Amino acid sequence: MTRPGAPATAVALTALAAAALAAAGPPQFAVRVDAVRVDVLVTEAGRIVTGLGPGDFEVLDNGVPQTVDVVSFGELPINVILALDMSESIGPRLRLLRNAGRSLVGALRPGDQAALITFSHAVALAADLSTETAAVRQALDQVAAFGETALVDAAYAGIVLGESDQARSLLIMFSDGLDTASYLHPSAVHDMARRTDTVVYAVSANIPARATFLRELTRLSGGALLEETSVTSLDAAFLDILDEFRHRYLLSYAPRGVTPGGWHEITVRVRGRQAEVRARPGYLAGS
Amino acid sequence: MPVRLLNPILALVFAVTAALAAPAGLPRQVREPGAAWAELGDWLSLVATHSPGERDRAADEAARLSNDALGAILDQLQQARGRLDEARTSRLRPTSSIATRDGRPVAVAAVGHLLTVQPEALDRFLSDRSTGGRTDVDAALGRLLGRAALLHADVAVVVPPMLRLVRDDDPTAQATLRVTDGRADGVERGAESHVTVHLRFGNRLMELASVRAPDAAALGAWYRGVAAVQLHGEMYGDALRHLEDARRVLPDDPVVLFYSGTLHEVLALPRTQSVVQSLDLPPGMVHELRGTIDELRRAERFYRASLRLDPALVPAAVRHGRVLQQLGAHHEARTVLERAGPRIADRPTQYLASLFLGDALASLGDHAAAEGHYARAAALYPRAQTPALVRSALARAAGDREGAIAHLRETLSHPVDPTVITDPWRTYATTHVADAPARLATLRAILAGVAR
Repeated sequence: MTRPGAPATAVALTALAAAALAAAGPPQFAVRVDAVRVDVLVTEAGRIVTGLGPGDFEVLDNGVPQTVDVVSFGELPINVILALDMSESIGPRLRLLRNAGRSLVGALRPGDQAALITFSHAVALAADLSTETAAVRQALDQVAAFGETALVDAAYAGIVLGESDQARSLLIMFSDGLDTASYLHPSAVHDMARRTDTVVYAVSANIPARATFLRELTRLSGGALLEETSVTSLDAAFLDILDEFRHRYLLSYAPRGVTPGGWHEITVRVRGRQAEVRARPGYLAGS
Repeated sequence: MPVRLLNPILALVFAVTAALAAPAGLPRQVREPGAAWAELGDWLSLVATHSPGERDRAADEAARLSNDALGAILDQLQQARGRLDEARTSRLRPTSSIATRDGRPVAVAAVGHLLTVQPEALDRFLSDRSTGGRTDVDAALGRLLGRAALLHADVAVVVPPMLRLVRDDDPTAQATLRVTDGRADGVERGAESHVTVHLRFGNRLMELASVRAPDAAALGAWYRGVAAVQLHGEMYGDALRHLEDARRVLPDDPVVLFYSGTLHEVLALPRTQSVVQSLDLPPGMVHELRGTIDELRRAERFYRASLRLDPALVPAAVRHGRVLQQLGAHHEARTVLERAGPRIADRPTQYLASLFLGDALASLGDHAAAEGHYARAAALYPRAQTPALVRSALARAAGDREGAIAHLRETLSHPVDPTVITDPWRTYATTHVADAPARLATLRAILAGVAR
């Protein structure tokens, strides 16, 4: 499908309450303001930087400095959506994938939610988003590999599912990176990635250099694409992604001094440090 | 007889040609002239004794003929053709009085004499009742070639798949890609499918038949029927060459042009382009696939030409609409699809047309109308996933997150059964050639002379 036209209505995002609320129970979402959330990973010499506060961040929205209202770090519950390629070519890795999925679910904390999407020639919601992660484990036991690869359709489904809940959402995809069956156009899903704050990580098996869909998707969402060959094991890769996501800062700001609507380029820097910052490159306002 | 699919690992076959000089192969086997003519005689016996559509002794023996033997047979037939022409123009052997032997009103002896060898074999063949006692040499030879092409088509579709060894320096030989789940995982050189070899040989026979006394019904049945079989079996490398041949022989056949359009549209689909992305060919080889946009443009030209010749070819109109939409010509796509809509008789095509029209309308910003067409597609195939996905994406693009997730949850909750196709989009690459078995039956009937 080709991307439809501009969105008709702007949707107010819900600002997160102070991170401290998380310690006392589920986060509260009492205040509704137009806010932009940006998941940010800060590293220095390859190590994750912790302990930063709002004053440490410099955020530019279309080049205009913004005031960072909220910074959270690792305290909020998260939604983890696991989207696994179950096409024929994945067959030999099925056992490894099951184990990696179980390890990931086992590392979730109380209050975190998990879901499992599988995809071959069609996409299936094997386990819906829930704190009852046993459903994901059970679904992992039942998956089987067959058919083609609707990778693009599955990525869309994962992002939308991630948006269905207001907690921070992490979509982890595993695939050989080659779509063979989707109806949705890659550009439509890349466009979605510009509209969402779901962060997409992908682990890909032998992805050809010319297969750009996952690379672009993860870049647009501020996530990362890992080559299966570059990780010690799938278990370790999934757990590393989860750990990295928990150590990301969630910045929130109410845009000021910028025109509403359209594409907004976001620049995030850490004041006074030579830190590397990974964040989504921008957002589509009002979507 | 249903069309047999190839081994899945070879189902997606591409032509790969040597870009640089191929390594020298074995020299072509030198035959004594008499031996070659003897092979021709044996081959004619197979043609004469083959029962159309059957896997019989003739089909099995023909399947074992080497590429060299097939090449020699073609050489002999071309020589025979030439000698007939010489005889026709010679004062000594005018066409109207080609000599006959033993007084029978057939051209057996004349043809046999002109061929100089194996008159008995030709005699046997042309004495077959199906020749109807024709005396016209051109018609007899055309009929022979048609029957021969039918034998080789049957070899292709009724004899179990086998790979044949070919020489590296054979200019007609193709390399074959092994493809698994959209990923190229190997190149077979020095061997090609016997399906490829025998259908290609059939084309050469039909070209020879079309030179002097073209039989429009036979040629049409051959080129359409073989193309349908190849597209149904996803033998895209073979189909690419076959349709090039077909357009040379039948440049104004709307079905041949329609099939050419579908071939290039399929080559633009993710399932084919993914192979290109994963392709790492050995040095000296190139593939013939172009990028998505180029393939779509070629498809668009063929669809347009097909519809110019036959505006009633509704499946061509629907696919033309999709290709226009993919190329960004949203207004024309909308016009083409809206015009085709009332003429669509079958449910799968109605479904596809609704999706494509919905896409065009969404691109034009008419979300309400788009939603209506997507809803119609959903009503036609309630278990299909595609309408729910596009409705979800449409809602999401409009900022309706609740609507987006609602459409998605509805469709994702259905269990996925790999054995049941609930969404015609999943078979889009082959839906238009679902009638391949019927076209094959027509081909057999016409070439065997039953339908005349």
